[in-house]
Amino acid sequence: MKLNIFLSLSLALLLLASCTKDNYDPPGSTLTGRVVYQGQPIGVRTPAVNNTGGSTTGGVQLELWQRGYQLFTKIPVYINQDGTFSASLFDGDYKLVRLGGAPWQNNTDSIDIQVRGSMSIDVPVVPYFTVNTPSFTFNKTDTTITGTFTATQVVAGRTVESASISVGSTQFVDIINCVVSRNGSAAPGTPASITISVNPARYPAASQDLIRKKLAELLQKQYSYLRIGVKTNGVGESIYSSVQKIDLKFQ
Amino acid sequence: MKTLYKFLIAGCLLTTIAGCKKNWLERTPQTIILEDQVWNDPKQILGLLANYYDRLPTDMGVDGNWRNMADYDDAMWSGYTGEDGRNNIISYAYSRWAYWDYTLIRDINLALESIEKYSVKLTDVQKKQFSGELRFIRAYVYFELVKRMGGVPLVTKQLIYDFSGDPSSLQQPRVKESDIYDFISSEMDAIREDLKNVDDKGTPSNSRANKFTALALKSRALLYAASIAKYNNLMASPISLPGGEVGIPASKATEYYTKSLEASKEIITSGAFALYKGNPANLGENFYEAVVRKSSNKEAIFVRDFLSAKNKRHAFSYDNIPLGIREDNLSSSCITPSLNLVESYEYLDGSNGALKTNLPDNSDFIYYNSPEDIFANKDARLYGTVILPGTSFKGRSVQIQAGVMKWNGTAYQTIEGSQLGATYSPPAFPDGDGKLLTGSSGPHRSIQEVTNSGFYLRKFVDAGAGTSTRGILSDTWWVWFRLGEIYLNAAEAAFELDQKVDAATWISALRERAGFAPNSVTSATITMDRIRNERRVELAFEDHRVWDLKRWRIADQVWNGQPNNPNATVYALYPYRIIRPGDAARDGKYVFVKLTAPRFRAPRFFQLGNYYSAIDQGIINNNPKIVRNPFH
Repeated sequence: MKLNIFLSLSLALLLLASCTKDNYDPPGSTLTGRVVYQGQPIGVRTPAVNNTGGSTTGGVQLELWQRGYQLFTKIPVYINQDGTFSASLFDGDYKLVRLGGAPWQNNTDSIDIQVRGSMSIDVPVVPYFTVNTPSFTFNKTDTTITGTFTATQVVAGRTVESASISVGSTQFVDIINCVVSRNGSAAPGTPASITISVNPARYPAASQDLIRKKLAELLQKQYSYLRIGVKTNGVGESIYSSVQKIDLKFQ
Repeated sequence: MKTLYKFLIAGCLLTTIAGCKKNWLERTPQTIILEDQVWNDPKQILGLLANYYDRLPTDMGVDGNWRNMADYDDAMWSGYTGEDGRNNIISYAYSRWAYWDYTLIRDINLALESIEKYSVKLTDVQKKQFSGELRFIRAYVYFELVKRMGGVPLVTKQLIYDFSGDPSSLQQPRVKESDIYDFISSEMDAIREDLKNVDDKGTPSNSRANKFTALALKSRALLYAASIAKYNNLMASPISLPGGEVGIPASKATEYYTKSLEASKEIITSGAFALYKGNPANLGENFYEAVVRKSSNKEAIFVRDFLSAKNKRHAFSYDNIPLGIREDNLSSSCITPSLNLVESYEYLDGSNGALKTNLPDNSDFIYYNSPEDIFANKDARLYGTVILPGTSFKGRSVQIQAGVMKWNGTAYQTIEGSQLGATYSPPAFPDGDGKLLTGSSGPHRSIQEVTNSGFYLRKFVDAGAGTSTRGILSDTWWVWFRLGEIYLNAAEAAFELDQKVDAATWISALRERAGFAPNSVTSATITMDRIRNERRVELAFEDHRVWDLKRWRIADQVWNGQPNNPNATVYALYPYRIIRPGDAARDGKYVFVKLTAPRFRAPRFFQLGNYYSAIDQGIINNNPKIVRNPFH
């Protein structure tokens, strides 16, 4: 009987001991950076975490690879809407790949990165278009918002499929994440404008009950966040302007 | 005594020696089945085949992954709230449709080689028959692989490792996407005459491959290939890889459409199958039976069968029966069809199927005498697919009513019950009239296992007594191929080849069965949109919608994730009873409200990277010759 007590005690000790010995430290270094074109960060869609724990959920991503280990899988790095990103990593040598399907020219040449402690990098890309000089005005007589912008051609031979204005109630706004959005057209190089109504009465269909409710809330809050997106023909993701906040006051 | 011992010892020795016959160490084992025993016994080969048939994949079915029915725009999830993630798919994962079952391919290749090697007692006909069936299953698996992943390594022989330390001989690259479709086509041509499985009366088996099953696979696969060839190249920037692993040249479209049409035509003209018309008095029931009924149904071409007597059953009815008429005490109402699907069924006069809930100028509701009146004169397939408010199932009426609307002199006040089956009566409602408030089958905005969309699923749910209990379960079959689809395949291919008269004839035949007038579609009125809508309504919940949208390359527009896109959101229809004493034209009547399904959270979002599924990194690590799909 005594033996049993000793046995179980020693087993417990063993279990405790194993808690320290063979576990890894969490990754201690941070890699931060921006996706830039001519020194300016690029706006993209807000990444979202999905219900199964957030592996892939759209937005635009970069990927990191580290060779020399048995488990060779990519480390996805989601780009925030203002073009920044960050990843917690172990010290080591990584390769950073710019993944296809983004609003910039496909270039899968990898970038070598040596992570030693925290560091920051700029990842250069060549977008198909850039969205310049976005400005928004609220017209209180007919409750519309007009966004004016210029889409500038960067890569020759590409055409604009559509431009969009998205109205959101938080600063996380893009064409997926918004209260209302509207597509318009834009010719590269010339100023274009898109007008969208935020009057709930303009969305009468039974299927738009959610939009009506959200717009009423928005008008009550008396401000909204806006963004212009430009979608290149045949590319899934749009490139976005920076987020701007405007007042929706009637007085 | 001594003598006795001598005899005994001698006797023992003798028996021992006797045991040392020649083959003592080479006897046939009693517990292990040997290769040449398996491959010379038709029953054992059939057992293996059954296993392989059982391993054919689906994206949705009646067992296994049937829950995926709730993930597109035809339905939503109304069951257990822990799975509400299905109503909140922010975007489809790139690996969502991934499939890489080379284990099954290897098993089939091994079986094919073993039949060649060991089968000596089988007749030539039997050998061809079994090899043909195995090759059919292999082609089917390759079709599933190519429609999800694009071109994959085409392995038709066992790959055997030589222990040299160098695995590169086993590492095969992906072939062109079109090569896989060509492989399926040529395999079907090669084996179709070998496949018998037709009984004495000339009735083909519908659970084992035969000539017509092979043709049906060819019809479907080549239609997919043709539409990828055509529509991929119509995109602003076609999805393709430099090696052709993904993307088919536009020049091949006509060839594929023609071959698909030939295969479809051969099935239609063979006379072996017929559209099910066993219940002409009730066309809605007739359509339900066409899919579900297992006896004297000449429409089914290839099914995954279940049989209660052999204890092969599934719980699809248990999980999807309407709450109010469920027979078990748990689980019901998981998959509930959307208003989007219901409205895609046209009116019998050919007009748009949008339900009329309000007067044209939006000034008032339209008042219906009973809940089912709003669905009057609709395509009969609607009734056969969906359990509508006011209809019945299993002989019991399914009570669907969201609440009451009470007139307070100037406007309606909407009252919904917190419980199912509640009456509008005191003490909760002091001026209540004692009549029904909320139906015993809902709909309800938040209670789980009751419809959230206002509809229930009828297709594939078993109408037999007790089949929705866990003790009995159901044995309705899952339809892989039926003649209805072949008509649609033929019509689509003919339309693309500009044979509009034929196309209209086949579409009209299906519509006529659903209650439309003869020749309701003519060569002048047929359009691609109409064919697409016919596919949606005829083949709802039969694992076609997502693949169809993919091959037409419109999935990223239909499900673009935007909150103001009505196609990407699941809508509901809530019926209310009117309380307005003194107004005989309105009091006691029913009105309907369309709304976004309350439990539905995120619009469906299908991205360009979803057209081909991501290949798992582990596969690429093992075989560096595998190239990734675009956007991944």
